[in-house]
Amino acid sequence: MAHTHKLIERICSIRAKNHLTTRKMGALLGVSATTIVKWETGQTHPKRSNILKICKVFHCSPSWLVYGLSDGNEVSDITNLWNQLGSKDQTLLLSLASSLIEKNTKKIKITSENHHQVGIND
Amino acid sequence: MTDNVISFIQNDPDDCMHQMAFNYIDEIMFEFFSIPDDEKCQKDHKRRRVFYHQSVYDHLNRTNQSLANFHENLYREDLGEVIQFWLKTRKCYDKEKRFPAGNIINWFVFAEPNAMMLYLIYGEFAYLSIAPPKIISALQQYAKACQRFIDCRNNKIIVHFNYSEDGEKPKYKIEKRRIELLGLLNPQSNSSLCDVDSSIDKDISLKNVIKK
Repeated sequence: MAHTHKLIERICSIRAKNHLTTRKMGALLGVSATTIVKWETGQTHPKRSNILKICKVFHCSPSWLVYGLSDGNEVSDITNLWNQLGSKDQTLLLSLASSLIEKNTKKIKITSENHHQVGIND
Repeated sequence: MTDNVISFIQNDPDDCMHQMAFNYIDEIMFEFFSIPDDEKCQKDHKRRRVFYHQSVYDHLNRTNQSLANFHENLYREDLGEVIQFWLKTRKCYDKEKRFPAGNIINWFVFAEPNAMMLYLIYGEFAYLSIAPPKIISALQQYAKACQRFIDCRNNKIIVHFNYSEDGEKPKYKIEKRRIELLGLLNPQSNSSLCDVDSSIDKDISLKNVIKK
């Protein structure tokens, strides 16, 4: 269930991000903990009215929740992924990002030095 | 220099277009998801209850078209085949079921000569709306980028769809006459705008294939 599967993932990520038990999330949405479990295990998918409740309570857009669409701003996607990682993986990702930035900074420096040289020769 | 670059990025016309299209889809989704389950639907199509947005009725009035004509065009065989073919490649398509596409949660946009339509599917419910003129080009661009666009504006159907999930080949075995089409399928890069895992960025003209 490709898209349903992704819908499940997004519901799970919302619960994880907000550190909620199935019971607490159910209480916020006015459904039982069993219903939340059924959504998260793909036994049923939320009724349309419950989708709107999730969006309202957890401040997300229905297009994102249901279809995984974004407005082209990937920052929120990265935040969602980040929140799903454990602290070890977060540290690993941070060092990877730092290395990439360092590598790119070096590249920019070299390029600007070359440009400068061209300017002098001109 | 850096400020100029940032300013350019913030004013990227593609971002503005995507934002417009996204907002439109979101607005239509809010309406779709607010319709009570037991409300009378406009069309019962293969056990899917299809609701229409007000824009559809406005379009019928504007074009002096009857609902029967509109349905005949909307549920015509060639377009139906194209959509069915795509649905059959979705993981949640269960061919063992009496209504195999009953669990599908998906969306697409299709363009007719005088209307750009957004079709939202949520399990046994669907919602059809016709985009206002100001949103047409943004919606087209966004749907193309998301691999969810069918162009029926000319004498052929051009499909911008991704035909596989998770980089796998479509699980549905297509019949002989579609072999030529399968040859065109090319799962490849990721789309950054939606959670399709693989995509195809080619215009596939299905007319010749289907008519064989």
